[in-house]
Amino acid sequence: MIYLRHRLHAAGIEGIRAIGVMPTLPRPAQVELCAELGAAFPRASLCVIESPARRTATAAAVPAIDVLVVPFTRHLHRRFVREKTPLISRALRSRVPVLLFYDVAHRRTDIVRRGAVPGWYARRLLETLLIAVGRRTRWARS
Amino acid sequence: MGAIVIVAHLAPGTSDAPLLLARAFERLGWPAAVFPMDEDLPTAERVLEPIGLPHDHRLWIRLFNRRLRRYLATTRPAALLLFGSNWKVLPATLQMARRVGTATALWECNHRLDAWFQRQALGEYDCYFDLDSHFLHVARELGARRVEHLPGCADPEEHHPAPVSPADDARYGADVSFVGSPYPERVPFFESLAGYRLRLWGIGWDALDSRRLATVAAAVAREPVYGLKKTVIYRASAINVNIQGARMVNGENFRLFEIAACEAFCLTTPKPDLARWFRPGYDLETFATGEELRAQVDRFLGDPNGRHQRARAARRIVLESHTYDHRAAQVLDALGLRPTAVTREPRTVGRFGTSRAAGRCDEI
Repeated sequence: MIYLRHRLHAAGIEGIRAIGVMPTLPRPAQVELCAELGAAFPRASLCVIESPARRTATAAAVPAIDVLVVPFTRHLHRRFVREKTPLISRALRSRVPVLLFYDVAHRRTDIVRRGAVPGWYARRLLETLLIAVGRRTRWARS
Repeated sequence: MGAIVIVAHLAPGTSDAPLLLARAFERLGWPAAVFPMDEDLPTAERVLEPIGLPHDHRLWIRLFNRRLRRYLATTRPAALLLFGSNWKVLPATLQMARRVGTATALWECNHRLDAWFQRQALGEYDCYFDLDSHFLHVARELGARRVEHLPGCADPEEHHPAPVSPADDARYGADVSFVGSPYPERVPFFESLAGYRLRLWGIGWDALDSRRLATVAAAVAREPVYGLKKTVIYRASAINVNIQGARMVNGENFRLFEIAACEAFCLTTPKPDLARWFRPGYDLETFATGEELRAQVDRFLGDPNGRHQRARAARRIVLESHTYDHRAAQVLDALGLRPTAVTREPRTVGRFGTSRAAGRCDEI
């Protein structure tokens, strides 16, 4: 419980009244995350946006939430990335910050904000390149 | 930022202890911030892990210390507390912190002294705290100035008697549970529990060679555990087992206090420090061998009242003397940063008496 509060507090996200959460499937780690959110923010309302609703996810509903939580499993599945991306973009356009779990079971997270999106993408791209070069270099050494 | 900076890992394996400690400091009137070693890293550090560089690689240590020094120079906190172990902080960084007026301390839980900087840094702390009383004289002999015993603890808000729904019971319920890492010394105990509804939670269990471990292999839940889930697992299990890792000589870990705070029943291997904090036989029960473990499991599966009675007594002890507020108050006091009204030192119970303060090294 403390972790989620800490993560949002450290990102300057305060006074949370409504949380949007987009689970991939009702898998244990995702169900547990929803329970954890409910326990960490007992006064906030939790809006679970399930798969069928995503394509038609209400443009009106997104600005009403204070933070959008997007849990991915460790191996990002293309289908889910494709499905979730429009709503993430919509949230960011509405200035709603996104708490992105890129490995929900192991609790690896990023906070993404509207203004930071180009930098965030650029950084991820740079990191991917560096990792690829670094791995290749290590292989060459070994 | 914070008046107290806690350098720590934030991966789920840490029980969120640094965050709970930070919250306790804040409750005592000291703003606190966690400086994570594994989260929100700059790109240069973030790529090192997937590349496969070991965490104690020189490059990693150099980059981390540069970032920490910049942070300390900008924020000039009142105190810098390393939690868990000194995984990466160089003596030069601690010296720099002290030059700008920041008190330095280490709360050692993993007893890492194998790297040169870990040994040299011992002389740079204003106060050295250790979970395990055995290492207090070791630290003093290696040059630590002020040494205090600081045992594990729990947070009543995080670790509490959470209700267990039928769905929770179906998913987490068990005769015997364990949440933690698969240290080699733990595995034989669990192998001896064939025939019981056993669940083993945590990271790394599936890496064991399952061909020779029939009981363990069948009991492993291949998933990390943290937060509310851990509290519910403790509550949904009839018996929670605590087996100390080999790095503990006299001390007890956080698990013991967390289970107690959840008002759950615990069977633990006995270490000398156990009797300082709990009364074995009244608040929890112990075992030393696989046979004893089986006998205790048989006994307490048939005695739910005995389990509940002990669990209630253990929770009472934790709330009285072993919360993060108590530990934060002791740290503040040792560093000369006055806390408010919480009892300074962990009160002891059991065979060492009830009034003796066990926090100081010289009293042990």
